[in-house]
Amino acid sequence: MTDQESSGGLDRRTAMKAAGATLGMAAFAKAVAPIVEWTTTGGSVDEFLQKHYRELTPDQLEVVLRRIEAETLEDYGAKVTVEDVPPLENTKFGYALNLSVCIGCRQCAEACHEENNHDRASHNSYIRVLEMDKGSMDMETGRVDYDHAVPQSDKFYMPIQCQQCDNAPCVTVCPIEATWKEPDGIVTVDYNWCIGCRYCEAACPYHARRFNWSKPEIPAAEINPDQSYLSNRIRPQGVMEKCTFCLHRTRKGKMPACLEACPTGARVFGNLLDPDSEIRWVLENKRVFVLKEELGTRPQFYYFFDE
Amino acid sequence: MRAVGIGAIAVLMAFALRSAALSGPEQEQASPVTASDDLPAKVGRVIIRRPKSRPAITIGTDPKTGEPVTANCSTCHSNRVSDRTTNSADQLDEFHQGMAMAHGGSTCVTCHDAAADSLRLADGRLLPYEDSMQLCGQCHGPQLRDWRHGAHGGMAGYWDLTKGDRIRNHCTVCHDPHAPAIEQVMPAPPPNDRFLNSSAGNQDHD
Repeated sequence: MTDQESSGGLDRRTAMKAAGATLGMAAFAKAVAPIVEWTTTGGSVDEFLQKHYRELTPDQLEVVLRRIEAETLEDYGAKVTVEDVPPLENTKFGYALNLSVCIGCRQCAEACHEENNHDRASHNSYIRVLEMDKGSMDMETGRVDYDHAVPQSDKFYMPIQCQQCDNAPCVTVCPIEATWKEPDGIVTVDYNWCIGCRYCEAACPYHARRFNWSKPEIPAAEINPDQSYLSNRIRPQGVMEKCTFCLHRTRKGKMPACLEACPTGARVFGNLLDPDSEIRWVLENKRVFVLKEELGTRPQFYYFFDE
Repeated sequence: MRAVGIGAIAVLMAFALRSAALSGPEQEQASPVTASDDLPAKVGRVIIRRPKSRPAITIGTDPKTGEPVTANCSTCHSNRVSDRTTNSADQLDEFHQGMAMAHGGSTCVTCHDAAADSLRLADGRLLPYEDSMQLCGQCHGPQLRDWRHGAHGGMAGYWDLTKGDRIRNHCTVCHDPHAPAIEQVMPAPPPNDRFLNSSAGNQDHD
């Protein structure tokens, strides 16, 4: 045997070993191909190994934020700042919307589109404005694609965005806890933990959650550079996204972008725990209601009419 | 009467130029108003975009510079008696012509005391233009109440006044006082929703 090997010949056993090893290598390469392909197109190994947002230590989070900034620069050519903005103490956010003065101009949706770095092609926004017949509350018949001068005299307009439910069905159905309710009432998503199963989209009675079917495309000059991990940073392809009440603004004391854009002052935002806040005055003095109250979702977004 | 008006214009040409840059009562002017005292130490201001104190109308163009020449109300109205029944620009022989007037049954003098360059409340007291919200609130009480509680009128800046300033709209930022109804506008484009219509592309959702 040793004589044969030393003479350079191949016996059957060696040939079989070599063939087996080759086949094994090929099978392994085929098996890991999706991961290799994904890491070269969709994300880094670091991202793949990243822990859940709420399990990251401050040091690890810092590394993640800087990595996302670098990836945004590489992918989009935009220099951005990605922060982690923690919730404020003694604050629970509430939002109210006056349907008597909303004229359906969609400026809120447009401001959201820009503030939150939405995909330009789909013209996505966290806000959809329903055009409804006066006297009706049937959201099934409301239209979001109207394209004529507003307001029409026989219609009223109902902007709908995430209602930041206290009993949020989207949080309950998430199989991997990629979405949760923060102490200030905002329902957030860890876009890097989300697997894109879309259960939450199906569970939400308000169609407040959207899926990133494609990688968001935004020209570098239009990217809002003031970003945060849990809100308006550019989302990866294949994950869910939702309104966060602009937490990168509101947790710093600023108004949400949709409120600042509203030309009629239909929107009232503030801290529900502050008895002197504007939102509390509205809740105590206007006949407010919530959407689909019968579902027991306990929204923190309120609607009212003046009279 | 016309001669007097033209004479007044000539006399005023020179010094009216000083206020040439200002035009119309909708001029924005930020004037700080201190918020209540019981808020934390570092208090942001509530800045109200008030109308300017003395409106002026354009009465011509400076032949040398091409700049508009303006005159304050009292320039003409101090020596003309206002017709108390006028309630439409169509009834005027000169000036203010073409102005839309659609505000209930109001006449000019319901709100204006032109000779005094001032607004006038229903009880006869004069009111500076920058305080015109008080005049509007005579009839529109619920709106004034809502505004005072932050539930009427657009705003921007900080919801938390311990962190920064807030800018608030005044009545006349959104409402033309002479025709206050909000006009129709074209909305921003609708979402290009993949499920709404075929033109948006439905290829990924079979």
